[in-house]
Amino acid sequence: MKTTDLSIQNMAHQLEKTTRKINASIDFDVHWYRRVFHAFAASFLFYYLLPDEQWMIPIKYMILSGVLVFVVLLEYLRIKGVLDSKTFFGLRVYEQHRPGSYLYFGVAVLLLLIFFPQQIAIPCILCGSLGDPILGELRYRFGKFKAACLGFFFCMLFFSVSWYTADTYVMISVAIVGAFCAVAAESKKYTMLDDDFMIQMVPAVIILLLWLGIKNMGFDILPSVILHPLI
Amino acid sequence: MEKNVNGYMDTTKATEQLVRVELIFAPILIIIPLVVSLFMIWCWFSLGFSQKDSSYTGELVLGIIILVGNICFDVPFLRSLLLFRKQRK
Repeated sequence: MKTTDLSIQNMAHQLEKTTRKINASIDFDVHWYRRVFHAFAASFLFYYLLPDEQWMIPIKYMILSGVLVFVVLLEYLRIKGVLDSKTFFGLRVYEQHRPGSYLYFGVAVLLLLIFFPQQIAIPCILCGSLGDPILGELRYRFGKFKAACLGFFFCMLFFSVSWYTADTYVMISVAIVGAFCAVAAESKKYTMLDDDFMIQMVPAVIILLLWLGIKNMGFDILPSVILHPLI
Repeated sequence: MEKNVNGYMDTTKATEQLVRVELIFAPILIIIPLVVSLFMIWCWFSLGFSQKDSSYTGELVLGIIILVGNICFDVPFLRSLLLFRKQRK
């Protein structure tokens, strides 16, 4: 009798252990899926390699707007309940009744590609697509403070690379300001907006204002472009 | 709506469907950034390096950043996906 009880207890324990393992794997999978989705967004920089001919400009805008309209429609149908939120892989609980973070990300990328010079847009898109998941991963392993410090250097790298043709002091200043804004914008939690939007737009707007302000004083600090159209 | 420990929506009841969605998207999410980054490196090589034009260095550096950044996240993602599929069998 005692042996049967023990074996039942043992089986129950094994079953619980296996269930926990499977659930942990599902969580882990969602987690990496979101990270890969973020990193994928760096491919949008291909936009700058598209030909810069007059006939190509409306096509470029149409492609960008088309993608955005599709995502907006998808989100509208999901929030209205026509599409089940459970079929959207990796959605967070707080995103159930508001637009998903990928919509905010898409809007930020669209604004950067259309309205900002590429020297400002490229590092901001890299901060959103690679900096944000790196910061998240570092926070997960080392805690908030260490993650912010290490993430700051990664974001600085993105700004330095994009401004490498500028004077050294300009490159370093822009990298420090941009990285600080990106890390600060990502660290704060928002109710209406999303950190995927803010990590891209905050440094972009600050650097744009700095550039315009300094340009107004007679100095143009903006370096030459780093990605060239194919034709 | 229930949630799990990481704050994601509890989708255990729709797992089959979700894994299918994920499997459809996975090749796109992995292949496109690799193609874009390799294309940038190719641009640097054919237009910059072989023509001795240093203005294409940006293509090389960004290509490497996108390539390395994506591989760093692709490897654990694929590993977790394979593990998940193995556990379900």
